[in-house]
Amino acid sequence: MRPLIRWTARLYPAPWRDRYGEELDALIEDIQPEWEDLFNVLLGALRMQMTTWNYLKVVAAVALAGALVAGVFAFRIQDRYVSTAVMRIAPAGMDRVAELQRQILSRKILGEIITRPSLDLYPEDRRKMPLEDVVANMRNKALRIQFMQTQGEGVPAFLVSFEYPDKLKARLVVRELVTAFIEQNAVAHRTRQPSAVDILEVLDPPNLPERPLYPNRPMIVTVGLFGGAVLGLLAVLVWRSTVHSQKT
Amino acid sequence: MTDPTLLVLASLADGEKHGYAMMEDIQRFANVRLGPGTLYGAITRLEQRGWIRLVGSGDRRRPYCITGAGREYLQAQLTSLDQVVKTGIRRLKHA
Repeated sequence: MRPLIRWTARLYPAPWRDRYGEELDALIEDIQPEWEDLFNVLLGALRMQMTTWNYLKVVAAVALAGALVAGVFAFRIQDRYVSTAVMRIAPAGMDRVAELQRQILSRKILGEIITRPSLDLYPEDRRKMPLEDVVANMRNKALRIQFMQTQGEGVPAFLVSFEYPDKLKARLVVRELVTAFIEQNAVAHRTRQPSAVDILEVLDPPNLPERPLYPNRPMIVTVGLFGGAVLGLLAVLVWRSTVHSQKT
Repeated sequence: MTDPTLLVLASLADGEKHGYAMMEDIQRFANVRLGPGTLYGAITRLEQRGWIRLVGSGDRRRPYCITGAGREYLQAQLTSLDQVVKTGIRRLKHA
């Protein structure tokens, strides 16, 4: 314990140690050291360091601490990859795609995709909540079907995208959804349903995302750095006003 | 009363002492154990304000003594505290 306290005493600023270091070491030799003394010396060293720091050092230290905390947070967030495919439709089929979409995003089809052994999506969530909730989360948070106009020709199309921590599974799910659109449309044609679309084909196949879309780690660290700097600046302002009020 | 600066000044009021002697003395008369960091934080502040000064510089266990300004400050603080203590006791008796 005593060597640990003596080592901690080295954290005092050098000018302070030049003046009081030997005395403090002698005191540490004289006392019966306790754990409290270790924290007491550590706190004393930190306080003394703070009194010798200039404002710039305080702001820089808090900014670095902010960046460090943000960095730890950023690296604890799971990567999220987004795979996307584009499907072309006949101009007259725009309204009918909504009906196909309703069928494909049903609990039956999404539930089957989620529980398929080769995909095995959201295993953690499935242990904690019923499949209906997992399907709802997938439909509302991870899946996106959005109408668009292709560049150049201006052909009506829609985009199918899926977000998932595993990029291969993200692409496989989009592939499944694209296939489901084509199969459902074929069934609608065979059974002469009003939802059948004359032209429905894949314009851009599902891509394999190389980089995760989330999290943007450099951005999170930068926000932490600037947030820390602002916090440090506020601390300095509070400190200055406290010292000023004590002097007056 | 747990203000370390007042405790150190009160300890030095009856003569010079080094750090460990101050710790022992304060524990005896105030029943407060000042940690090494707290004690030397108080000593640093008191010396900067000119309320205590170093006596001699040969040994590692350097003794300090209270200065005239330190004695005046201690006197003023204790008078104020005494007023508070007397008022508190009087009010407790009448409550």
